Amino acid sequence: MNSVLQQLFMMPAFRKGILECPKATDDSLKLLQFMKTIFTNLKNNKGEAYNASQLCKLITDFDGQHLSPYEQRDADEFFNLLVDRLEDDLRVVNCQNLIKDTFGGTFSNEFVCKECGNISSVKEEFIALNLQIHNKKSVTESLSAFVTSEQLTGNNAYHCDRCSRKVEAEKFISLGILPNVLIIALKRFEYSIQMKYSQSLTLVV
Amino acid sequence: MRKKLNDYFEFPLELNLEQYSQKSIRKRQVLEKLRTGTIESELTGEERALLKLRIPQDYYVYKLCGVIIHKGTANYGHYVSIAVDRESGSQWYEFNDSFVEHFSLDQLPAEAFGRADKSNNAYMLVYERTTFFEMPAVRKVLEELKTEDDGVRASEKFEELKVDYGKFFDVRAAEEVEKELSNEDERNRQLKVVINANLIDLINTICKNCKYSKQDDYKLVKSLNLQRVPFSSEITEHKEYVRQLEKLQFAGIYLLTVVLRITLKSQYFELLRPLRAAAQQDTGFSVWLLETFAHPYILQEFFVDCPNSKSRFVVASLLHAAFLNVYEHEKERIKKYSTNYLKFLAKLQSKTSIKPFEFPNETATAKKALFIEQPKQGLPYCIVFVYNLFTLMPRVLESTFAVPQYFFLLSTICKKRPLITNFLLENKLFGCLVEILQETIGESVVEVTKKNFIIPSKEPSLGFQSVMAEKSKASHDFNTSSLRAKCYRFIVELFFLVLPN
Repeated sequence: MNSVLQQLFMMPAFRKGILECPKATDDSLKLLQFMKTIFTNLKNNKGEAYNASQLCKLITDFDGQHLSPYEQRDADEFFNLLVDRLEDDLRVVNCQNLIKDTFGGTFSNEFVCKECGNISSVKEEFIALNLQIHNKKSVTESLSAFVTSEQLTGNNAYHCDRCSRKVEAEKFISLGILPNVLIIALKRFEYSIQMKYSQSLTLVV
Repeated sequence: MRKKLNDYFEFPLELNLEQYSQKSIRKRQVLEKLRTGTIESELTGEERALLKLRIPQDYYVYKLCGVIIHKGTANYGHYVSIAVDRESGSQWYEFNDSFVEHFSLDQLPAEAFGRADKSNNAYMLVYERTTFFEMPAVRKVLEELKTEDDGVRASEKFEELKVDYGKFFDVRAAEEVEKELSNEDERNRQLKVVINANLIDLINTICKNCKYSKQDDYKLVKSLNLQRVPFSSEITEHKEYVRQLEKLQFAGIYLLTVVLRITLKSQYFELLRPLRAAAQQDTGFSVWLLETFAHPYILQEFFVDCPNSKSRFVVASLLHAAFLNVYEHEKERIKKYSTNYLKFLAKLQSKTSIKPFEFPNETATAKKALFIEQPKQGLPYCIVFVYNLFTLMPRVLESTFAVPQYFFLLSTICKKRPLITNFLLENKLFGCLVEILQETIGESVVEVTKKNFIIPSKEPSLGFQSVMAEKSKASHDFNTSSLRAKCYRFIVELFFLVLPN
């Protein structure tokens, strides 16, 4: 958690955005106030005069539970949660675009129909790019893999709106809007189901 | 099963995203179309726009600004942050919990790129453009590209959307936070001055060096204006005794107004011991205590409404000791007042002015309270104290902080002191206890609140700065059964003290 907050503090644009957004009329925007206090502390060289449990109480995860300071949490998971909850507070004081304007970008999913040539694109928002590291040696390699095209045929055939039926199509993913601050999360953690299966197999025998 | 991949994965200090961007890829496709035979007039409006679109390189070029490094395994790990100070542009730092160190980029591959046999590697990367763009405007510009003109216009517009990065270094601080921090600083500074081990030691020593004699100095004490500190400058006789009394007063005021208001642990009892001994043995000190706490608002501030149980205990302890001492001196006088008390009270009400009394934090019950000034020769301090203490009962039940200590104090005062219990009975103050037991809280308790407080006419030397912000929030509803049970137990005990008489 410290690492994420430290990185956020070190971004002048984000820091300025948080410190300068107006105060709520009542005391209800606790997470925002917390961020302001931390940033002010850090700015005045007061160091980390906060404790993790304070922050945990201010953030609920997607199940609605408060974070536990004892639980290991992935930095990128925490980043997503923090930013999501912060946006709620920011909305109240009309600063809701801070997150989107700083970190927000889009993917562009484009489908090119092989029959009629119609291109339809779907945009998806992101605040961080998740890149595969499996079998990749660098960011550029991973990005290239991300942006390659995919053939949609057979079972994966695409439904073209103009042709009104399933057709062969080519799918391109690319980066649409590029944010001012690009956060890249590397997929270093994997859930391996394989091990589970192999265990149960030996039991059967 | 969660697994961590420690594989080697490198990332550049500078990253150009042009080849991955949708506009760029589409543009390349269009150029390819033209190259492979498509004529320009066959192109769609969108394709024509793309050909005309020129996006500055600044939009695509990013610099590495921060890395979050993970050290350890999938389940047990530690994060470390490295980041560059954007203002200098080149000084990198490593942040490891509360430690900050310079970081050299030479170490980056070793620390962050990873290797199958190493557990530390980069987990999150932070890249920033060297020139920022106004993103809402950029989104608009890139959306509406349907004609050739759109493309031209967009290219022109793009240059205007650059933002000077320097302006981000000029931050108008969050005023309210800065203020709070400087207030906190100020408070901490004050605390350091005021809660000082040396000071407490000094006060401790002073108290321990006090000598108490068995003389009956009650009359002397009554002649002094104890609420005015210092008072020794006016005294010509008994200077030594009076100066000692002032020292004890100072220690008492320090304990009550400073130590008890700040939650400290061991310092409480250091000072309590010698001061309790003083209250038990020194008439002047115990009279001063009782006289001060005879003021209902002092009782309320320091005892009834105090949210800290240790503080309440200390206060109750001191008052108990003081009461015992003063009682011994006042027994005879109390007898005189007890028997004729009701008549006396009636006389008092008709003669003296009754003014409305305002508690520092007014409640509905307190608003109804009136007070009577003491007659010139003064009622016994014990009586005034017990009377006002009892009359605060509705307030106690309302804020519920002090319930145990309050009833404990009442019962220890009443124990084996028929004079006191008779006084309370004669004044019909016990009626409300019955009401509470019968759970008709409100009727007789309201009656009690209609009783007048007796205010010693002098301004108390303690004063009452309301530093305890929590007291305005009542802690529990009286109707929680455990609280009620506690009350009932105390009340029944009180009854048993009274009945045999």
